[in-house]
Amino acid sequence: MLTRLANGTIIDPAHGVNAVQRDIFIEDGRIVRAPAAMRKIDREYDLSGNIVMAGALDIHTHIGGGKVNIARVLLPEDHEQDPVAPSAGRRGGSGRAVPSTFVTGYRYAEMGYTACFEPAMLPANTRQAHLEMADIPIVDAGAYVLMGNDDFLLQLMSDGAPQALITDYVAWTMRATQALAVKVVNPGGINAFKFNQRKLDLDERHAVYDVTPRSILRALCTAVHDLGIPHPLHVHGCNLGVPGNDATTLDTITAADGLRMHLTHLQFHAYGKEGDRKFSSGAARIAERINAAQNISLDVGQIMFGRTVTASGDTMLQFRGAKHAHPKKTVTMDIECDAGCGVVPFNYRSRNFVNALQWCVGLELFLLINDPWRIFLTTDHPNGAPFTCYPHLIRLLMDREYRLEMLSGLHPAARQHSILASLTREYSLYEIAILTRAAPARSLGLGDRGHLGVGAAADVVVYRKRRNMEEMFSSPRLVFKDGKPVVQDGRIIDTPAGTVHRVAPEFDPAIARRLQRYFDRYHTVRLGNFRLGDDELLSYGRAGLSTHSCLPV
Amino acid sequence: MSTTIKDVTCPFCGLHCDDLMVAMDGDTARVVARGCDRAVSGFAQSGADPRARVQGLPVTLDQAVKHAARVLKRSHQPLIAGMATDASGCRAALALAEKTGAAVDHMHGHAVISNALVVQRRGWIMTTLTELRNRADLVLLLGTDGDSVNPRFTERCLQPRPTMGRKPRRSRQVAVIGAAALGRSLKRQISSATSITCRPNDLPEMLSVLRATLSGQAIPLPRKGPHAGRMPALKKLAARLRSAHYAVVAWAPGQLASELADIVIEGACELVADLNRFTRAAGLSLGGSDGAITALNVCAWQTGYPLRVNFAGGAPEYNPSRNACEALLERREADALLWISTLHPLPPPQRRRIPTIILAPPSRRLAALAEVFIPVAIPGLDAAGTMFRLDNVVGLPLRAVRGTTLPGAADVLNQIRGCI
Repeated sequence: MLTRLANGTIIDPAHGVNAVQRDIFIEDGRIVRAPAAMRKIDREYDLSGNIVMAGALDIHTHIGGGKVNIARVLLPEDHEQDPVAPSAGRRGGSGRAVPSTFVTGYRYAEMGYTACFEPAMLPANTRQAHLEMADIPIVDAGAYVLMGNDDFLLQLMSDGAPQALITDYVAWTMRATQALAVKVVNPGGINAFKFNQRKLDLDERHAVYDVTPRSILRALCTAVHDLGIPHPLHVHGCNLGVPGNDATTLDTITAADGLRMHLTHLQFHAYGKEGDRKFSSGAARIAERINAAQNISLDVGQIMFGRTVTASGDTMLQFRGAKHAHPKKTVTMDIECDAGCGVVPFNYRSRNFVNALQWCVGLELFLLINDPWRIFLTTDHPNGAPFTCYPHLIRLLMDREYRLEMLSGLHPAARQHSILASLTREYSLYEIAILTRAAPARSLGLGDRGHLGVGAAADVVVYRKRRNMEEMFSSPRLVFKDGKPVVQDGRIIDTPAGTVHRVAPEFDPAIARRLQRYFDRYHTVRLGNFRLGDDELLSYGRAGLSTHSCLPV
Repeated sequence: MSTTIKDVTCPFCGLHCDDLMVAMDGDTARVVARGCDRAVSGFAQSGADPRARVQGLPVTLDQAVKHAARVLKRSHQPLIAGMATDASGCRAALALAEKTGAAVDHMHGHAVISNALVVQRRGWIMTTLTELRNRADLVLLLGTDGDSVNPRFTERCLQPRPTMGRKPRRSRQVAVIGAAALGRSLKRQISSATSITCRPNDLPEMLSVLRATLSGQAIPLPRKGPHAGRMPALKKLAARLRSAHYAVVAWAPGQLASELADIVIEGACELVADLNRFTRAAGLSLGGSDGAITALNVCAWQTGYPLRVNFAGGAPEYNPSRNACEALLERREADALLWISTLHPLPPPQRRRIPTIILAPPSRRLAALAEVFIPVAIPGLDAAGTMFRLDNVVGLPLRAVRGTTLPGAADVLNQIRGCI
């Protein structure tokens, strides 16, 4: 079937196309060249006056796996506020801060998102993460596997294993878990917490293993680089949420030593400790450094006011943050000599100094970092806020007047501690398309997503022009997933299964012998049963597996 | 000719040991290595008489499916319970529940919900089996000996020496608080284990006294009561907990006194929280058999709630007391029952005769009980699949080691849904 999207105004930063009126043709789920004049067009949409972009990608959103499901169980009161009944062709569930799987897929698609990436899949929890994501309809998915706190790696490093062996282990783990990228959370810190170490700075030695967070970062960065994984090491650094962690972040950038590194939810890692309240914004310092460091990319992890829940692998810091829980209940788990998780419900209040300043810090980062190709739009769903507030966040970035209006309602001391009022930058639609489409697709190495060129997967979003950007981005006129119309005028009309994106790096199979010995001695799962195979993953109900190429050094 | 298959996952308890060796001789599976009694008998189940029945008379699968769909369509409040199946079975059961406006519970719903209530009240700090095996230098069992609920628990998790920790290669201390029989059976597995005896109903008080002792409170001790004569032992245990590097407090919710289960679990979680102020400690919930954890997980991600949901109003409504299987039957609220028990042919609770559809391995007894009986494959023996281990994190792959003509539960449930 040949479809023509006629007369739309195209914004496609991957090809430098900014508001150009032209037609797009779709056949067999792909964007194709304009056909010969005599070919019959099966379906045509007149998009005169509409904005057309590629489907949006969320590069960091906790949508599948153990800690998300724990957060669901923890908070029935969250779901009771937002019951979702099934309707023709649509499953029900519940929404708000940690929506059920079907509702997650529908709400992402309704906003024009066509791919979402779970950033913290524990190897031990691989099956659950992929099974949950298989129950998220419409959107594609992929997962970053959590490493850097597993006793196997820390033992290897303690024993002085050569980098090549560590690199093989990283590749083996990515293959065994069907991952797209590698994430590290509080390098060494989750493990150290199991030995009752309550804090671990970048250069602090682990209580038992001969490692530091810096040495772990170095080893994993090098492995990702040597394997040619498209997405750089995805780093949730030390000292999340601790005043003064802006210095840790600057040191972490130095620790990358020129290798590519992605700093995730940077807002939570950009706090100074100046001022009478010993809490200040470190955004300006960090932005200045990142503007000059081409090897660094980041996502923001913007917070929004209201109730949500924070779910993280960072047991050490989540345990410490438990006293701020709202309501007063938290879950902490040590997991399988692999990693852990901490779940803390949270209420961000605009009249609270710290929360208000957190809000400012995120926006300062957005506005002070110059290169939209290296910064991605996230709220670290659900940790900073549920993903459903993205349209609101886009408006804050594009509309200074609105931003100032919001700012005026915040805790007065926070306003004084932030330079936000003086920042005049307003994002353009073109820049938003970079942040939410072109840049994340490029960073993840998804060659056929995030753009509208010939050969791309036909994930296409059509917006009616509005003055209010929040309204525009909340409810696209049309969303196509792999060429199929899935959303029309804000309503789901089809719910195809998504694809799993992954990489398949090569490694020396000798690592499996070493792992076999480790598993035999320590583990409660057999090595062969630990791995998630292709057939098993497909049996969960996936449209397919999309393997992206690595370019090993 | 017999073939031997290595590293087979056992579906028959929440431990899901995946190191079994199974010999296949034609259609007969036999566990030849590392099988507990439950695994041996589970794998030995025969697949004889694979015919579907309606009111006891043999019918085709298609006829049975259509009849089941009619029963559910006529019902005002269907109940889908048992839920002893793998992840795909749970997914299909929930889809059917949503379509028919059914309530959903598991055969171990009370155990699952006892834990969930505590999580929803105060949260908890938990661990998993590999952590326990390698890190725990003190394990305190509350009202369970471990093996009676998960037969290879002590062998796989307590008997090996801990290997990771500030002082590796130290021995592991194991203690139990509970009925005298528990102490005796535990000592058969771990000769150095210590026990403090109390009746099941006295566990909450024993925990309170232990916590108070641990925090150094002076307790005005009545001369009578469950802890009379137990103070020296409790004090000693408190001292050992205090000096442990990584203590694990374990319970099996299904083995606790039913009406006190959440109180005991809450006490255990408070004890763990107390210890984490200065050392490391974590809880572990044993049991999780018959797919309880699988059902909990799938229900949570599809609906937002851990079982005991009701789709009667469209959107899932969570009510842990009202939507309990027994309560819905007792109050005569449910007027049709779909009972899923794919690991063993276990009967549904029969409080009252309502039209009952049963999905289970072949069983003449169940076939005689049900309006519609549909024999299904046993996951992990006849069919591949996924189940979650008792620690709520690890999903294990189940294999089809035996060929069968029987459909899987998911397949049957999806067919029924297709007819509605």
